Amino acid sequence: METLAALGAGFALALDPVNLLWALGGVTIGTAIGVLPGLGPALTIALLLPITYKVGATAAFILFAGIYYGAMFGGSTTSILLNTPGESATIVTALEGHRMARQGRAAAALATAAVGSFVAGTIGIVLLTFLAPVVVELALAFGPAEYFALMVLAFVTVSAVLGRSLAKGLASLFFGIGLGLIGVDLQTGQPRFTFGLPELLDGINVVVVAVGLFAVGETLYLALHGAGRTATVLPVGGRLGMTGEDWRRSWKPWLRGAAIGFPFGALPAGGAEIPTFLSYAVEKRLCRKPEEFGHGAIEGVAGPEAANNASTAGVLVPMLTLGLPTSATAAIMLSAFQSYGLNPGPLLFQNQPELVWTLIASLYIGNVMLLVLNLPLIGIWVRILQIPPPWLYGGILVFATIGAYGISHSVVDLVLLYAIGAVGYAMRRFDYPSAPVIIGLILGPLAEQEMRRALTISQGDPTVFVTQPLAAALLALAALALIVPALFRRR
Amino acid sequence: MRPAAVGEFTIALGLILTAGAIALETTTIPVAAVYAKIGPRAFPYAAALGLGLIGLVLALKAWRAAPAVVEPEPAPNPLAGRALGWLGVGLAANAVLILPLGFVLASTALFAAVARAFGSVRPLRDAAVGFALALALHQGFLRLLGLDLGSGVFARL
Amino acid sequence: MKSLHAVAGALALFLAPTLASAQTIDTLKIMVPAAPGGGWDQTGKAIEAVVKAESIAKNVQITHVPGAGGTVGLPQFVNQWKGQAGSLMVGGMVMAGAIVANKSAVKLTDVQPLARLTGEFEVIVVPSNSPHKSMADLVAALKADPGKVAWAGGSAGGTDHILVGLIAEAVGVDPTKINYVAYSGGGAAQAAILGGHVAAGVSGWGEFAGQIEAGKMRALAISAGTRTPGLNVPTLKEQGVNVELFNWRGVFAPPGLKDADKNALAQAIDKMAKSAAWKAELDKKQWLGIYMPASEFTTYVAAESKAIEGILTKLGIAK
Repeated sequence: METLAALGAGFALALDPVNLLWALGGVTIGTAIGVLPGLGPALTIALLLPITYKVGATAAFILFAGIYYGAMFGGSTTSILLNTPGESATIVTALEGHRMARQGRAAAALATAAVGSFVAGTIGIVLLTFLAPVVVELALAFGPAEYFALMVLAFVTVSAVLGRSLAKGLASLFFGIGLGLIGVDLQTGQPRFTFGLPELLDGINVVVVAVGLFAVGETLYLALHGAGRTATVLPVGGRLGMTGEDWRRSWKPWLRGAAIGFPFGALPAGGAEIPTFLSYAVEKRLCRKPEEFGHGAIEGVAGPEAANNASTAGVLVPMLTLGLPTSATAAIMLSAFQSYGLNPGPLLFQNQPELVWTLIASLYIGNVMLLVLNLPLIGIWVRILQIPPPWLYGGILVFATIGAYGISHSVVDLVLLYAIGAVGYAMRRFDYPSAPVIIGLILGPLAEQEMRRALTISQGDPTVFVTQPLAAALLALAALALIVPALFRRR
Repeated sequence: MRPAAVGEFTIALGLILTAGAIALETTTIPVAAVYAKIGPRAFPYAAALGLGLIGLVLALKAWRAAPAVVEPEPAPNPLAGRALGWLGVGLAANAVLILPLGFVLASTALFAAVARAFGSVRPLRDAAVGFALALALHQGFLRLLGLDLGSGVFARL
Repeated sequence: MKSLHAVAGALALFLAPTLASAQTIDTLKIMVPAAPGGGWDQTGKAIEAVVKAESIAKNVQITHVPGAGGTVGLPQFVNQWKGQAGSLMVGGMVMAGAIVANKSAVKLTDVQPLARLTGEFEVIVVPSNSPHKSMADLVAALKADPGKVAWAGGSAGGTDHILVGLIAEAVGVDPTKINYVAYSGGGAAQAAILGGHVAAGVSGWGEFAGQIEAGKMRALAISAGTRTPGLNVPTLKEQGVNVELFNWRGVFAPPGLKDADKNALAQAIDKMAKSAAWKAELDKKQWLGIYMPASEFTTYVAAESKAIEGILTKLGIAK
């Protein structure tokens, strides 16, 4: 009851016309930044931090939260239309979404992404409002051993995204793991595979790999195989919005995606990418027409898009209740708290209830705004496909340059982007799937670091993975996921 | 070997070579005398092993002229060589010019060259469109987010 | 302290005519060798806000060159910004450590230290239900079996690791036997401590302040030389561990500056660091104002670099 009263007070403040304008500004900037490949909410908010010198805390946080949510909405658009993900959390969306676009069902894909994001985002915020303390307890139970077990489970389930050939999918996965090894080893401070280049010491940015494989690789492939002139001018078919069947096939994936995404966001090493992989795997397994996966199954868009939006709300749980940043964006938002001399810790709810509840209320409002903003935009977005290919792909490469070079001003990154683009071309040409590269690049380092942390803490005792109940349960689940389908196939 | 399998085989060979290179480079990773129970070399060796084994499997499949997946041969493009040339020019120009000339001019060159690779025959018009786009982006980022995408020769303006 | 301020005030009065005659800088260019959002970026932005407010410079232009603890930006600053008047680079202790750990060819001796501006001391914490009530308890456990005390902190070879190494050395434990678990960001390390997955944690005060205030973590010691007013946490030195450490940040000028240009820059920074607006900025961000002018700072940077190299070698990170 107390919660509801506080939330009501928050709404009263958030509905103030000036604050509504800040929310609108935030979701608009967020959507734009989400659409552009390589520019994420973390960077945008970091660049906008000087605004904390000019406006009050409430307005600034409403703006930042709008950007955070908007980016997740916008990221799916280019994934679906151009096969060039705007965010790393929308890479999986490209798998089915772009296939749908090629069949002229871009509008349906965009609609299920937008509505799914709204539904899951709202569920996430409701869970944030009422369950935050419980979720945070669970998140803290995860130590290195539990994380490692979770990564093993994730590795096992990603087989669903490996594509038609297991061997080629695994080759892509291991290539990604290999890329993830580059950089200074966190545990011992030693450089690995950096070839004396200081630019490589921090490792290879996921954004550079994603933009290279997808945007540059796609452009090279289309230019070299003539498809650039024929297949890319996709018919803008389909109905604006979705058919009855689309709705029937989408609503369960939305709910499941929300259920997967929210807890992952709340985990201090969860992130928004892994739940999208898991959601895709789950939908593929549960779908009545699994053969449609890889050819434009709407479940493969609805689930992951719901998952990445719900994880955004999840990230806010440890951030607001404990002051723990579990994503780059959250870390930067916390530094904004410090700009106002506020201590973002467990006492934030107690000391700044007005600010926190207004922020939460503005999330509800921003989510509605995003839906209202994005549904009519679908009609405009699909017109991107009518841009003549020479200009469309010229433009995509210019945007890719911004993503890779804009911040670092490093020509090394730019050359790396093109080299990875060339690899992406070869992979497409010989039918190697690209998504597993990104999965390997994200999961590989996490799995390695967590395993080594767990073994350092246990002083080298490997039983730590089976004596901790939560870790053991996750590993058992991973074993089941591996064995059960194999048994079915035996038949 | 079927012609299609030659490419497959080459890629598989490339995977094996990459795995070898990873393994070789791993031997040069310095091992610090810190407490960490598993050193910095274990995972790279595992990754090299995995990649090498998969490379072997794929090479074997290609050798037996049984590509892992019967992939549809992409439509032959008579102009592929020319397109590749223009793409190469565009990407190289961007990488070389972006520091001295700045984002706007380098992107204009990139845009025009890519448009050419996609069959456009009006380079001046393409360059004008590319310039307008790049300028709008440069100014937009600078004014809205305070992010300089690289001013190059315009730094003094 | 008071008398020092008085002296500084008198000096400022005495110098006032020369300062006033110093021209305002037209455009102050600041290189932040890190991504937007971090500590160096915030230092750069704070400088921007204050020099503009105090009309020390008309325009400020911040360039980010992120990567490798500043060792990507540093060579660029030395090579491409050489001799450019009105140019600064933000840097600090992290960079001094990264230069050693990454075996950077360009060192802090290749740039000109201008001023130490801010600092943050570190804090050693344990989970609130930990049996260790004081630093002495933790040290006893460490001496008994260093392997049983798992520490969570930032990346290996970073400030947190250096502090743990210095503590081990000071109490007579082999620094390479320290069970140190590296995390890449504050959130994950904090969660490991709050969840009781490690025995102790180290980080900058600001990162843990909220948790300590809420009683979720127990602060055993701070790495400052003296107690901080209003903060009921003893120093390491008080508890018999002879270690003092600041994660300091400062500004550097490029090599090859004309003396006049360098002096103008040093004066501008001096004026900024002594302004009320800067004080307000420090208070808001909870930074310690440990201003140190160019001449002293040059000696300080050299000494710090040497000390850091020493401890990183003992930790087994540098060879």
